[in-house]
Amino acid sequence: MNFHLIDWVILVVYLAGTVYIGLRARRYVENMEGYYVAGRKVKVALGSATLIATEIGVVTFMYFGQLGYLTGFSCFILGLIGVFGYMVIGKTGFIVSGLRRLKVITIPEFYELRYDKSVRWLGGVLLFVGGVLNMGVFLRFDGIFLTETMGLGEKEKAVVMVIMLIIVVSYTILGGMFSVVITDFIQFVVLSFGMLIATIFVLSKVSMASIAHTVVTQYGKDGVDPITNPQFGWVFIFWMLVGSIALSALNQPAVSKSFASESPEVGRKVFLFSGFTLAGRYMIPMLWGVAALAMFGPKINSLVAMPRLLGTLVPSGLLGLMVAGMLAASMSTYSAYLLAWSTVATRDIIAPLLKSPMSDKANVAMTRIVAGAIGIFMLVFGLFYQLPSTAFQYLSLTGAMYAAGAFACVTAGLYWKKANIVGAYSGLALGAVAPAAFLVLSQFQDTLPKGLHFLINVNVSGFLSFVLAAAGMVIGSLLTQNTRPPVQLPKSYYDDEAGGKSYV
Amino acid sequence: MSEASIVWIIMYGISTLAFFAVAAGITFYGIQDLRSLLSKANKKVVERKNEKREG
Repeated sequence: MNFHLIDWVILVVYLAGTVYIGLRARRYVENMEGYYVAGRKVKVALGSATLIATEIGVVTFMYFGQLGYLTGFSCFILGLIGVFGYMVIGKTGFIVSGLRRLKVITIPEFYELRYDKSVRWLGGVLLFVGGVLNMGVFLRFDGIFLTETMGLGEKEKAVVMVIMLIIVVSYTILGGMFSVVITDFIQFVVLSFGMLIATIFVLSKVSMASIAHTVVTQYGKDGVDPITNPQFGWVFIFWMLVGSIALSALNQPAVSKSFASESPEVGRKVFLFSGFTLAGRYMIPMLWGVAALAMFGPKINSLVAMPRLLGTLVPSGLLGLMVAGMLAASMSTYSAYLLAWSTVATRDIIAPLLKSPMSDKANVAMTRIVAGAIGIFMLVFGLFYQLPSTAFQYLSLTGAMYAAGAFACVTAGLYWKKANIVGAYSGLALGAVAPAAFLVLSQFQDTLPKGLHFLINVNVSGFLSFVLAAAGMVIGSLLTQNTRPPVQLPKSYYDDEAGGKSYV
Repeated sequence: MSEASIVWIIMYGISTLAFFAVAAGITFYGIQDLRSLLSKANKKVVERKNEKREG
């Protein structure tokens, strides 16, 4: 076992401290807005820390590490594409400033303002299903990462998954966004430190020259050229260029950090500052993966390689600190995701089905119940589901399931006056078709006719989802302008002076 | 080492340095933001307690 007494002490003290602080934050929750968006009082630096902590988890380390191991330096292109997406949003406020100005808590709330209640419900269902499927594999990656770095056996994986789940669910359910913001900040500091430790040890034990040599030896040109690499290519790059903006601006767990900011301007800046770190966030774990290729060769399980490298290179004592950092990353991701998806389920799926409106207390209570149920789903799904592609592609595709339709509906809703309810329905439904077809058909690929094989190409499927959603929105709206005239946002929304007014 | 590898390694170096530099800045200013958020939230907690006592 790589873990020694000192590592356990560091880990237990850190976990206990986090849970204590998270639970203490419960007393700050005075109403529904306090629970869901921390009273909208978050400033730039704190907002950036909590957004970055949300977007870095063990799951991101795992899929970026896997990509580095399987594709060499080619995958670094994703870091550059990601920066592009964040910079577009951070410089222009594209989507996030508009949504923050409307003071929505969830993205489907916007659908009701711009389209109608039924679009909100459908959008909520798609957002929830795509989001929970996306989150379903997180725990499993944590289990693999922790058992490999700590040197535990396969049998302990399920135990590790259960403990992680109980810790995060407990404080997220009780403290809401206040707990998430406060613990995220602590976790941001600890995870940055953990990443620094891991990077120093990897680079001191595996030289850059040997990493570069391994990439060329194992993958040749494909290891440095994302266009020729069979995992990527132009279709993948186009998909990621659009997807990076859509997923950044419409990923409910991330964008809720912008909703929690004290103004639309702060919400925009949170994305700008987070964007400066994005290439590093991607490339740091990718290089760990490439270093694992140099250290172990190409024949071990691609998911296991990177954590095994860290467990081997980082010495006792620092290993405890590093694992605490990685756990910090995971906990902040889980808490934000749990809160985001349970909020969508409560406010956009369950509440519209009830005859009378839910009270603030009932809203919060229902959110807590749903968060607990999502936790149980994650455990079951994580233990039994087999991924049909690389982890990164699976997550991008399930993300596209909700982001493609949402991107069409929100972008058109904010910036195109002709967008109407028919366009919204078409965009949401068509955006989900290609990813859903991939997830189902890839389970039967041996019996699938050759003519339909393009549907189980993950890159084609992801790219198609955005094209179909946009086509659905534009064609659906243009064909039905007379029969279903568009509903406009409140006139005062377009006036900057009206920024402080709540329309919900 | 190929030219393409050198380009990617330089990009990695810049991105990694940028990450840790911005993280240090965010940590520094984030502590101030967190203090401000908690002091406002604490004030509200005290106000609520006082209201309960009086009410």
